[in-house]
Amino acid sequence: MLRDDTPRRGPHTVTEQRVEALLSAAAAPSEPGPLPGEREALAAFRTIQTAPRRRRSTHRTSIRVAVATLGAGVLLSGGVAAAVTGALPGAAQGTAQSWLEQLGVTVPGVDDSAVADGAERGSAGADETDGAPADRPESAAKGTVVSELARETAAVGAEKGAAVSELASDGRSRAADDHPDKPAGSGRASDSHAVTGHAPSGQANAGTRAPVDVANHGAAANTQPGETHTKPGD
Amino acid sequence: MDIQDFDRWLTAAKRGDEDAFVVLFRSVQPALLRYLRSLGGPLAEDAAADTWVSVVRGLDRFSGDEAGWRAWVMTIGRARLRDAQRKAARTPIPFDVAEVYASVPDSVDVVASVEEIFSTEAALEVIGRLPREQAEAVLLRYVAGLDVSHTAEILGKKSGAVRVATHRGLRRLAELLGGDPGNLTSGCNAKRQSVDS
Repeated sequence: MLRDDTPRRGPHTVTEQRVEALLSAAAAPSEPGPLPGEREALAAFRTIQTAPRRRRSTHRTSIRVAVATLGAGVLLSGGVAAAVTGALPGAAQGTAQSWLEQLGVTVPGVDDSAVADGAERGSAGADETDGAPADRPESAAKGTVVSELARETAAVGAEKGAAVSELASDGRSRAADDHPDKPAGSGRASDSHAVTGHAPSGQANAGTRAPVDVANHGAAANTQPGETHTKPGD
Repeated sequence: MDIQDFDRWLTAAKRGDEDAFVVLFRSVQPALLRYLRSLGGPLAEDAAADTWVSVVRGLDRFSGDEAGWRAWVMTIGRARLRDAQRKAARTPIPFDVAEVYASVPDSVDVVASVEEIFSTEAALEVIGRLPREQAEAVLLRYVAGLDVSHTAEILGKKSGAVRVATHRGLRRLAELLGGDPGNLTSGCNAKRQSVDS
């Protein structure tokens, strides 16, 4: 049945059946198991999780390049924490050092016993308030990961200029990074607005589950028509 | 995934649980990739990768249910695709068009018999031919499985505009598929149409 939030009769014309078939194909379930892009996403997740954050931005391209060039087993098996404390075997530690330094983390090199200083670039902003918990082993390391956890709040003008700089410098420009003084909540409203993920209050979503949401592995298959999503209690 | 399960996965992922992250990832990646592929073609993979970098950075700030999660990821994906398309427009890189498009069907027989099964790729390609607004509405509603209010939020439109765009998209699909769209109704006047027409 073609859904448009209103009760409908089923498809009975050839045309309607074709459209229904097309939509079903577009939303057909994927094969179970790892998906395209999963390894890269997981690597990015690990990077963010295991390193303390500072309020300085890392350009997205840097993280992606770092993830893509990471030696296959170096950090996935040894772990970022081991790299930060200098615990990986020789060559692996060297590779890890260069990779992590792209992210702004300074770690012991192969021959270093002390953590290098001065490798940090850019402005020294205040730490993110949601800094590393005390139990993270790398909290002892001097370097910190530069990661842009602030909302992507670039105003149009600054964003445009930053994008131009980014292109001109092959991604090395830091103009694209969020300025520490940039007001929160400006710019890309669509990102920050949807952060909370709530349906606007007062809008009934009864019966609005499209029948072909199996593209999400049937994740919503168990929801009943008329179910209203509410925010889970904190 | 029911609400309690999603809560647990989200909480665990925020704490760094990789298995939980994979669950969340798999719950939305197919829809994200298809949305990006339909609208952005060869830019889809890079845009998807950029999306997940943004997602993992912002994960701590997200709260909501499973539908909200998918809506949030799709919102970011939409923005990353926009960035990628702007960048591509500014820096034309010579490339072999034939090679780039080798992975998608050269042509889709849109006058399909009822029994013909569309491949996912072909279906997304057809949807991608719709006007942008209609394509987005159809993709978010039917491929990402989002309701009208989430779709409206993502597109920056009112719910009524989403319904109109969706309906127009379905009508346009019907035209593309070779039939008279007059029978795609939402309660308004409709004439029965002969199967042979």
